[in-house]
Amino acid sequence: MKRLGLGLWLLLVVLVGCSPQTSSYVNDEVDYSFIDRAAVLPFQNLSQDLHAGTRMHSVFTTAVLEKDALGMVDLGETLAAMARLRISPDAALTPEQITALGEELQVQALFHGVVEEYGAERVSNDRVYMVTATFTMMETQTGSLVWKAQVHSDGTSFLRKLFGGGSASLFDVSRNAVDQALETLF
Amino acid sequence: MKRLLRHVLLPCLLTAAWLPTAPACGQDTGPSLAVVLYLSADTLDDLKLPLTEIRRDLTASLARHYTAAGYRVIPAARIDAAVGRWRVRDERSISQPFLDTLHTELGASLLLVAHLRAGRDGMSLRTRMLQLPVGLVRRVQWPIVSWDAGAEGPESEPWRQALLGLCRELDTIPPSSPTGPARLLLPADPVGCEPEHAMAATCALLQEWLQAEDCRLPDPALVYTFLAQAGVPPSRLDASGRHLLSEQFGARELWRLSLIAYGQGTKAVSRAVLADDSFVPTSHLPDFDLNLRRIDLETGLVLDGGALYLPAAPDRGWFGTVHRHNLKDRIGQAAARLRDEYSPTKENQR
Repeated sequence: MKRLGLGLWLLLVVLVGCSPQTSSYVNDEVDYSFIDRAAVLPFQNLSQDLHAGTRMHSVFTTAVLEKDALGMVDLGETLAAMARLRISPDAALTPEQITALGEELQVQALFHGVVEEYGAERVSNDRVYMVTATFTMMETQTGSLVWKAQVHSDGTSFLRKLFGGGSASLFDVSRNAVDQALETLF
Repeated sequence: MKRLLRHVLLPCLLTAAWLPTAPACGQDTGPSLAVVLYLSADTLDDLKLPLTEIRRDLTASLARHYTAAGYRVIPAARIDAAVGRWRVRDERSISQPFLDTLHTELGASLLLVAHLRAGRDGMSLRTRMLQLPVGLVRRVQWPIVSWDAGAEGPESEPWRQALLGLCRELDTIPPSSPTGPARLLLPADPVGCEPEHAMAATCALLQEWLQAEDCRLPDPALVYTFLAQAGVPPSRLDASGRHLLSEQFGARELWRLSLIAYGQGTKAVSRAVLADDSFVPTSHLPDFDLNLRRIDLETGLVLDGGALYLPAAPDRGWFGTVHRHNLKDRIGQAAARLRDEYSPTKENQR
């Protein structure tokens, strides 16, 4: 029994070591079943990395597609619609713009993301990849926010620390962050 | 600055070929071939490679190689005029009017688009052969030769040996005409990496598709320039653009490919890191994510999407043996896996 307890404790430590930190909000009053088509807006990039927004957008879109729960509009279509409505890809959208985009793209929801931290940092002489991002979903009937998740993920883990492995790759850290965020929605 | 210039890609357009000897008997009956050659190199100061000579030598070698196989190779000067007229600056600039000119005015039935890359460890020649005037991709080849293969030392100009080796690797049997459904692919979008690497990824996927199934593949450059000439930016493809593509190429779907580098983060650094990665295998290469999306041309919806992450670290076997992979191997491996993921059988099942 003691061994089982020790095993469970170790498992807990390992899991805690791997898990990213996520905080989320989901509007319980929204009927999500009416959303069957969505678009992902270009991500806003606040990090030092020029391509962080594009990379995270790609990882996010792939992850949503893998859920196989929504029809996703191609990014090119989204960008074209934004250009037609004269909406800057970097600007925060007003509810009116969200509604207009929804009509233009014939989608019931829009995803957006802000990459706040992205890249490598020194943690006690080790180079560790970190990602902090916020993802949101707006429904296009009223333009209101229905889901928001802020997640921080890094490439360290208990096992890596224990056995001296390096950081997980930036792609894996990004994917982990996105997966954790989407778990609060799907 | 010098270092930067040294690492900057030098795409030098060279067309053509001249016949070093009189054409052989019966040669006129063979397919007529136009050759457009792009050349890029890095660390030239270190390697002391004579670019002009390399161009001339490769042009002559290609002409000899294809002439010997019964092709009628169109002289360079005639192609130069068409290249200048239609501003075919790089591999992505190939347009339908250019192909029409090659076909109607110069009598070419095939176009060989070749990209020679010279690096520290050797040379690679990435080629795709297009059927004229329709611009269907008939064959993609990508031989690589290392400097030490057949060379006797730096003084004996190993690049000449390397060029001969590359040409020998090229299959000259005229490719058969594809009859399957049309499949549209846009040139890969480079994120944080060189456009050349994105084009390499495009060719790798084309090669995989051609080897795996019978489908008509309009050259991605042709799809790109068609949209651009119609006033539709390919990155902002809307309903009108999709309709145009559907009408022009008779396709129902469009495939988008992205090559996303996970390197140091900035493009400037990535350029330096990537400069000679075709030949210097390994740990200096950034990680890549090859991303493929299948888009319904009628609705604009993404039908499928997948990403393949390519870590730069070399493989280690059970006994500690390190297996290093160059760019061709890595991109080819990823393209093969993407092809498997999106095979026609799977598409039908979806």
